Amino acid sequence: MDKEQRPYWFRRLALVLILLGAVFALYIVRSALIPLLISMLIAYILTPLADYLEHKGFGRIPAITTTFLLFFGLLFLMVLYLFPLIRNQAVDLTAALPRTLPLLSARIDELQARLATYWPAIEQVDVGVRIQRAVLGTLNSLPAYVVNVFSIFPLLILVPLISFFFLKDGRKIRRGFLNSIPNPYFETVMGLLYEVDRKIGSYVRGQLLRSTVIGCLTFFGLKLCGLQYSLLLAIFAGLMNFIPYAGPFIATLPAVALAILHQANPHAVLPLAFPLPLAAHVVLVYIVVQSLDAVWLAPYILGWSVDIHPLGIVLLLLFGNQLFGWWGIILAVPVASIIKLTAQAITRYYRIYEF
Amino acid sequence: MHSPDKEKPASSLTWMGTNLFRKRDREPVEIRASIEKIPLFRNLTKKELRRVEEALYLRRYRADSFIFRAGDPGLGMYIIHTGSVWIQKPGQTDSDGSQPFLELGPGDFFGEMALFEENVHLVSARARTNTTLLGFFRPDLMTLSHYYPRLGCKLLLALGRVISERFRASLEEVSGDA
Repeated sequence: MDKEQRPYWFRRLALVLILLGAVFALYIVRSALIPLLISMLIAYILTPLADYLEHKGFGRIPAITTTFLLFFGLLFLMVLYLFPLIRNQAVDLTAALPRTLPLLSARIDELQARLATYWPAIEQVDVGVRIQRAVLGTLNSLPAYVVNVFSIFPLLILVPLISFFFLKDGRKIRRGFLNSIPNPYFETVMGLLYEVDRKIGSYVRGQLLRSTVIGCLTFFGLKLCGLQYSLLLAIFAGLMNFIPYAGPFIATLPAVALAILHQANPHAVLPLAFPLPLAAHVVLVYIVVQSLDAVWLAPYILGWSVDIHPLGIVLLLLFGNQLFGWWGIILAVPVASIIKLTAQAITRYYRIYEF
Repeated sequence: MHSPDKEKPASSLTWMGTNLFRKRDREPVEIRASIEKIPLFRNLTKKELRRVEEALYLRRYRADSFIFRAGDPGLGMYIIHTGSVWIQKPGQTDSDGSQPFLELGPGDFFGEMALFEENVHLVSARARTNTTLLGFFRPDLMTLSHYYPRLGCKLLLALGRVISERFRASLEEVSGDA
């Protein structure tokens, strides 16, 4: 029984305007969204542990506090122990590259000259110099970037605070939100919320586990090869794994380049057993790790499909990068799947009610 | 029960069917007494009952409004707290003068099949008077049985019993006709 007399187009227009307004508002405050999103991610990761503890007989507050202290304690220890290592490797790399980079250019020039006998057009491009310039440019901004990531003061205060409250009151926020939904939309919204929750939760937890495993495997693999900067490269590989399709390739490139330029650690195991060039070992490590991921981790952990066309994912990554930089690339896929699920629920609803 | 039928909107400013200026009564509603009597929850301990209570959603419906319509995707069951509800066959409207085929009152529940299958509702449910319902939905049932398997077993057994009783009744009806 609809007593509403306004024409359908009016409601539709109002809804579209509200949605557009919301999107625009979010765009304006987008830099404030990053700590919020990170906190949500952390809450997502920690909720199962907190729930588990609570249902094992802890109270809600002790369970959350335990989880919270455990997580941030571990994180703190990790930063405390790993950060100097990472920084040392980064500083080493920054110091060593200007020396070794001309070597790489020379190799590339050599290769170019050889190729030019078959394909003269190649001679026109200064590949070596260009690569050198690009790498040096990135490298000079790298220490600043690392420092930036780790020392954003408000982030350090805000993220633990917000994630604590998400963890503590997540259920209440959710119930309050659902209670405020008008009757006709209630079940639809609840079903949507549940589905989004399940999919995003498993995506986030799965990706994190995957990245950790890949980072560790890469680290040990590179250690076996005897490549320097293994920690730095392994962390890079773990991070890059958040990017669908392109990530693994991006992760491999610097490792191979470094392998071409540097000597293996003389005590490394793998080069002694198989006397191949270091770069070949490194490529092998990345191929093995990625295959393990593809065969083993990805299907098992990501039990749900993102269900977005590959072309769509590529576009999303580009848009995400444009809007939010690196965070945009990492968050593009989960955010897009939330939007997609919501859109599906809305269209399903409209088809039923011809709203 | 107080007389809920007299509730009248004070203003006509509405958005998507809800009155924006309607005063909402926010005093907590005592639902324990209402769910204790339901056969579904009869075997539960006090603690388990509290957990179920926390998972329920209290929803208010004005007289004549639909709770769900035949063909809507179903997510769970509703327990009638106050008021009464008509269950109607699809296509049946009040304008054709036919009788609704079921009228339910406080303590009755409906839509329990939606807890088990992700399917559409076969009938429509409509508030006859101003009605408060307690919704119990699939996600919450899943969460409860995940964390409290014993409670989950009790709930699922009770639900199974209810469904089989209703199925038996409809079978007897069918065989009685033949």
